[in-house]
Amino acid sequence: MTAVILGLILGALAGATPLIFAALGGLCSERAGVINLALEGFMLVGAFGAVLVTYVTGSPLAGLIGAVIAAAVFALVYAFLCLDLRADQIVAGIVMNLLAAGICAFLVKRIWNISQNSPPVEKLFSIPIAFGDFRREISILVPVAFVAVIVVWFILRRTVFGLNLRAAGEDPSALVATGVSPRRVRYFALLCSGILCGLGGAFLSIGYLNQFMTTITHGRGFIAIAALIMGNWRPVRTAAACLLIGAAYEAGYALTGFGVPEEVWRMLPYVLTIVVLCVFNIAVRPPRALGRF
Amino acid sequence: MPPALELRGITKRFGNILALDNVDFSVPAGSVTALVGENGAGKTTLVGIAAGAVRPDSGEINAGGETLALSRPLDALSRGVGLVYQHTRLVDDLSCAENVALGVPPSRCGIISRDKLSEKVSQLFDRLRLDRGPDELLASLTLPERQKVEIARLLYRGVKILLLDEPTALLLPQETEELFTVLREEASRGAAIVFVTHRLEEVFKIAERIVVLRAGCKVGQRKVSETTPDEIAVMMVGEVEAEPRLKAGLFEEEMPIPLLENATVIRRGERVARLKDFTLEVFPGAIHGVAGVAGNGQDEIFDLLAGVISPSRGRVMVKPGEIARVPGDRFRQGGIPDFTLSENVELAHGDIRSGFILNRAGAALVAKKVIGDLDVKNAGPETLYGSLSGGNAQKFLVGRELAKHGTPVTCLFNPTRGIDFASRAYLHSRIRAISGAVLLISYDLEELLELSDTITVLYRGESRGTFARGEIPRQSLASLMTGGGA
Repeated sequence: MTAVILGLILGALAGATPLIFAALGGLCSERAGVINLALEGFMLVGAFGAVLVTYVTGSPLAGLIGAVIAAAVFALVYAFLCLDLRADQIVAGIVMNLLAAGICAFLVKRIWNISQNSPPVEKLFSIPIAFGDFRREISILVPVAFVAVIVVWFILRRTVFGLNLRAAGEDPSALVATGVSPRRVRYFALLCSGILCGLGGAFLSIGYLNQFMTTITHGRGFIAIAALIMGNWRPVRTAAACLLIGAAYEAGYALTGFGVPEEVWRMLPYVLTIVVLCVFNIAVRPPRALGRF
Repeated sequence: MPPALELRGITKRFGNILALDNVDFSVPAGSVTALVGENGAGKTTLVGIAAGAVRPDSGEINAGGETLALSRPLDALSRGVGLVYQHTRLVDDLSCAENVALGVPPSRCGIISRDKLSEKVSQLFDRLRLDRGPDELLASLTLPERQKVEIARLLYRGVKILLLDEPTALLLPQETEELFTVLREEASRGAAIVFVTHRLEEVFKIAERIVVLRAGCKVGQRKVSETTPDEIAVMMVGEVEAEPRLKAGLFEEEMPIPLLENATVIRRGERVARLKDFTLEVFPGAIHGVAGVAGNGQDEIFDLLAGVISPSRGRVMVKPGEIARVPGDRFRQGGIPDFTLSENVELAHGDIRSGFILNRAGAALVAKKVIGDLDVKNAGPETLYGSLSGGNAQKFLVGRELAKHGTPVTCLFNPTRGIDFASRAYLHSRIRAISGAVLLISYDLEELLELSDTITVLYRGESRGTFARGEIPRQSLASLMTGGGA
């Protein structure tokens, strides 16, 4: 019994990890006032970068760095579209997702001459968990995700950059009046967003699995947005929402054993979001200047 | 001693409108200078130029003996010149201290030194008599408190020349007094203070010097000790038109028009009623005032009559279509800023149409009539509503409702809040001339006393009594409004 419960808990943690990274990435972006529907794309590029660099160098640690750089560069493209070309942020976000899917599929085909999955690569370092007879491993990125929650919280609350970031998301004109450029702040915010999503992508491809698949993100970038809303754009609450959704995934897996069709448990995170927001009557308030200049 | 701030030969055009014409303006340190003038006289533009928020077409600006080429607020800030805007530029979701220090918080390696920040901000708040902690969220502050935070923000950055654009427009008398105390203290510390207003009684309370602008020109400047309110008024507007006669006496023979019957409003998620068993009726040809301090149920009365909310108990006796309404927030509720005047007329006048098709020519005609009738300055049917000044927007809203035919009741909510006295006097004369019944909800007791035939006093959502003109003295009304006895 203990083993079953432990398995469920670890499963929930692993399920929540990519969501936490992506949702924190969305949080950095949206608290700075930039709508971010491109989390899915950022993560996909990160997942691909991780496998490619690991494949080439043979080092998953280098792969992790590769993931972060790839996703960060991709996020800066998004920043350029939104902040300098003033593209509509919703359209640009969707375009970035399509672009990510296209680039990754193309490169997989060119590099390995296969259509969907990369060859297996070495996985990132894992922490072994032993409790009685129970043996399991979790990726090092699982605890990193929880550390990231604290780091993001600290940056937002206690640093000059965090203060500027929050001001940019609430009222950029107030920031201008003090001599700080909201554009610059938002560029850095999107850089953070890319880095975090890169970590999330790396978890999927070299932390949880050991290969890249073109469908590896599987809508997690969008579920992360749901978690972000459920968490009212606050780091700790958002992470809690991710955990709840991760647990729902895991419980869903368990339910398939009882003849519940797979499609039903796939809906759980979305249903849960609606239920949490409506039934518990949680008032959410997006950053006031979200999507505005 | 040279002036702390000196503007010379300032000229500014917006399109083909000459906003400022070769204006000289100087401010000595350690004193309060009032800058007065009608709406559109150029006051806001002038302080905007001094603060670097608006770039002049020509002219020279000196601060502390240095000639400056000011073009950005930051440049002006670094020279010790700061502007408190009418609508404060603060961030609701940040704490008071974070707002004060935004952009330049005390920090080490990018991490904010919270103790140092709290200490500095607490000192500033004490100095400004603001009884709030540095960590309180700005959203919980009232308007006068926000103003003080804004002043603290400028003082934190070392501002010595403090410009305030109509700081008292939305303040209650008590709050205005408090602000004046603080400003006097700052002046005695050596700050140069410029105070933009159109309320003359305030000018004579706070200022030592008065500079008068009219239609973009400086008409003159006076020492307060050497002039009178009458002289300044004449300088501001040229001449004051005579007020039309008051409406004839009482109206007991008329049938009252019931508006609300025992209406109670409890907002969702709240336990205390915003409006309690409130009954309201008006008489044709008379003005019925509703007096009260802001937030005592006025919004709920207006929303009930507008059909925006329905009462939890009791009844609304009129349909929204039977009552012409001028809402309290002219830019958020009154009209759509990004629409033209013509389009804003169409929104309010459902009858200007041909079947399903909008009658644009008809709407433009009504808009033109409103503009002409109410003397809306510098506007045409295609002017964007959002580009009007406060006074002109208010005139447009009142005119738009007056242009409706067959509405027996007109409801006005703070119709002259924050506008200049010439526009105010003009609107008052128009309100008196309305032939139907008028419901006047106002936070301005002077206005109510001037216009109303009967007044109901509202306190915490309940009526504290209804009085005919002259029945009880002003002090008693004020006392009832604030919860005291008559």
